[in-house]
Amino acid sequence: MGDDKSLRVTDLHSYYGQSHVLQGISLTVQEAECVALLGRNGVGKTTTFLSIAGFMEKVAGHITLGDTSLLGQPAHRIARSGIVYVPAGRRAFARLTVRDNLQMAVPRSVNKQQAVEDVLTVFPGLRERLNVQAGVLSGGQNQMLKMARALLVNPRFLLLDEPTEGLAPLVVQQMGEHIRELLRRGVGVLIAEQNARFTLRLSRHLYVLDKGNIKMERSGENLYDDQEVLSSLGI
Amino acid sequence: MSGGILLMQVLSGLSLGAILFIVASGMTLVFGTMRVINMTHGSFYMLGAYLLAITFNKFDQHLFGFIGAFLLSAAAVLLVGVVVEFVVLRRLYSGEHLLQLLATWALMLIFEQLTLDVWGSATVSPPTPASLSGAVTLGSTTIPAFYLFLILLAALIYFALWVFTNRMGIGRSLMAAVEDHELLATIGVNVRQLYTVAFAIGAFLAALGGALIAPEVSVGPGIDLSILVESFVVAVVGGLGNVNGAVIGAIIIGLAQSFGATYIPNMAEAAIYFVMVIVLIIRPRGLLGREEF
Repeated sequence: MGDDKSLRVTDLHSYYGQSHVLQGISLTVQEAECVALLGRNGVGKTTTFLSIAGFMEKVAGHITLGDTSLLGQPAHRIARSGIVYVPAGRRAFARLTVRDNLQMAVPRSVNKQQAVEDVLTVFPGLRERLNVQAGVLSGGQNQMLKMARALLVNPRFLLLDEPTEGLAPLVVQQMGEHIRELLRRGVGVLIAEQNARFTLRLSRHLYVLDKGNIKMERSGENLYDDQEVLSSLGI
Repeated sequence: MSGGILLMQVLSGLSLGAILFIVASGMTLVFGTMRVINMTHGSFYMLGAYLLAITFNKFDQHLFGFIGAFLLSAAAVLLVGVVVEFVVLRRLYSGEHLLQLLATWALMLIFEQLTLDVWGSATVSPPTPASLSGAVTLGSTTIPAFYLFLILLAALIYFALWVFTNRMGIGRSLMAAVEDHELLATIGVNVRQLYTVAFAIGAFLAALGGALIAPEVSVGPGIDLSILVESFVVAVVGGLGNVNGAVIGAIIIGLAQSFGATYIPNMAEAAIYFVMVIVLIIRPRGLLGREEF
């Protein structure tokens, strides 16, 4: 048990008021592994992330990182313990500079300048934008900022919600490279995406969500060629 | 009208505006970060004023005694603010805004009764500190030194707030919380702790305003409600949640009060509401407010 560093979700239920959104989801992400969470809009992908990251009021079940239980802990503590949620869409502190956006994410015990410098070697495109307000970044740059900010928190697992949304094909490819690099560093990644082909190329494991339940689970090298997977996703 | 009287009017308006800014900046900071309209804000102001009346008597009647007394009063109210946030508001963030409004309103009534029980219904007036009770001669006019002191201090507080929000980590986090508090939590910032800090600063500023104005007015029951309404008007005119807006709003409302008292004495009380109505017709979100609702 002591060596188990995986992120494990067991029989997770989640509610918005009276509505029972997640109805007993179980999934596991290992270190250095990419797992896809697929399904149509509104089936509960984002709710799954919000529940793991500590943003849902009413949740039941088990969420563990290694031996530590995370359920019921406040969101900032879950982030500090290494599970970093990267929300979908344009999310930035728009009126702060890109540099401030990045520095804020650095834990207190770490040298801020050095940490930002390190992350800029991974996302060099942000370097020339350091002094502009984050609100003026392009969609692609904003996605990169979100990833860079998440990396600065020093994650062991990333929960990426729609990381390729609104990106040009070339930038989608770059994003794929960035995610592969993270996996090589040992970070576990859980991706929720509309862009199933992109996600399946990165993943060796997938879950398909439907109306708050896991409808299908698959492992393998060639998920993006698996006809059953593709047809279940309506591709 | 002579230039001297005009200058007097303007400076008197600005000194009123100085107090309004100090109080309203606290209200706008709390609303900006926490999305709470704090009805207890006026009570913090009132507590600051009463506490100054007590503590100033203990000090010598000089400038340093006064500064010591008002810092002490404001610090005491800051602690009250921390307790209020911790015990009451913290339980209500996930609920509707109406709940927070009702809870802080209830607290306002409780503080009102408490001050009535402790200090009675008679008003108290602490003296103006000796070194500030004189007048300064500018050309042909003499202006109370206390007016200039208030204006100077408001400028100092604006500068301090600017440094806090732009140059300090925790202040920057506060500004970030204004924009997206969920995103802030995803990078490991304890947003609840931040809310306590914001609320404490808000209480401190309200009390500071109350303590500063105490020598100029009679401190008694009811000043909590009148300042609550006035600082709300200032914050709304400037744009709720925006500290720069509070500066502009305070100057406009301060001048409206000062000129209104001279030229339309029958309707002086209404002058600030005229101004608010006009501003809101032209800019429904206040002068520097952003679209968000």
